[in-house]
Amino acid sequence: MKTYLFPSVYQKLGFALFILALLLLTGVLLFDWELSFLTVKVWALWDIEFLADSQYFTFIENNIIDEIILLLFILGLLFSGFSKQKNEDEYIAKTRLSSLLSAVLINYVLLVLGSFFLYGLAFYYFVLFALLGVLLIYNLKFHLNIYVQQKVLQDEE
Amino acid sequence: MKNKIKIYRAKFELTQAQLANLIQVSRQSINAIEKAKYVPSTILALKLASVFEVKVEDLFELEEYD
Repeated sequence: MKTYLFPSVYQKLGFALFILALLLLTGVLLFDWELSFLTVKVWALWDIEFLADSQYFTFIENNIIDEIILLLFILGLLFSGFSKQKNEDEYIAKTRLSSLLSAVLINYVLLVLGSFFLYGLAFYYFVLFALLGVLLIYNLKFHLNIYVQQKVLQDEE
Repeated sequence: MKNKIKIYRAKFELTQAQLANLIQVSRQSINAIEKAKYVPSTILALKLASVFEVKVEDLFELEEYD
């Protein structure tokens, strides 16, 4: 079975992009970074603004920092989670697959719980987190599993 | 599934790392297989058997619940 994975150097790049995204998000959320130079004209397939009519296939003004942060998070998590390990083999592929399965299950259990216990803006923030939920939980599970496997080997030496 | 990898490895005086190198897998794999935490693919089972110059059935054995 042939599965596509990024070359192993992408793993470090992934971590770097993830950290960069975290820093930008912290800056925007906690320190109110304006970054007005990122307000540009973008083409919108569909735009619904608060108390305004929907617009389709049109150009609008938008600050693209949120798009950039999301892109960095997605690329970072994809690269760090789906790059070849130094010693990639079938056991690591199995670890990868089982981590992905747990991540999907945990993410959707959290989503159901969130939909019952979070309301209003709290649910909105939670849905934003859920956009990256599977990738985040998968990365945590996978890298933790690999770390534990290596620790077991070291302890046995 | 039970296996006798550890016994054969001792017989051939190989460390887990050496065996892993011989069949091009990670050390984690050998460790997990020996502890019966992981059942290897047919390809890997055949490679292991060829290193120890035995048949796959000599290395691996089904258990009642398999």
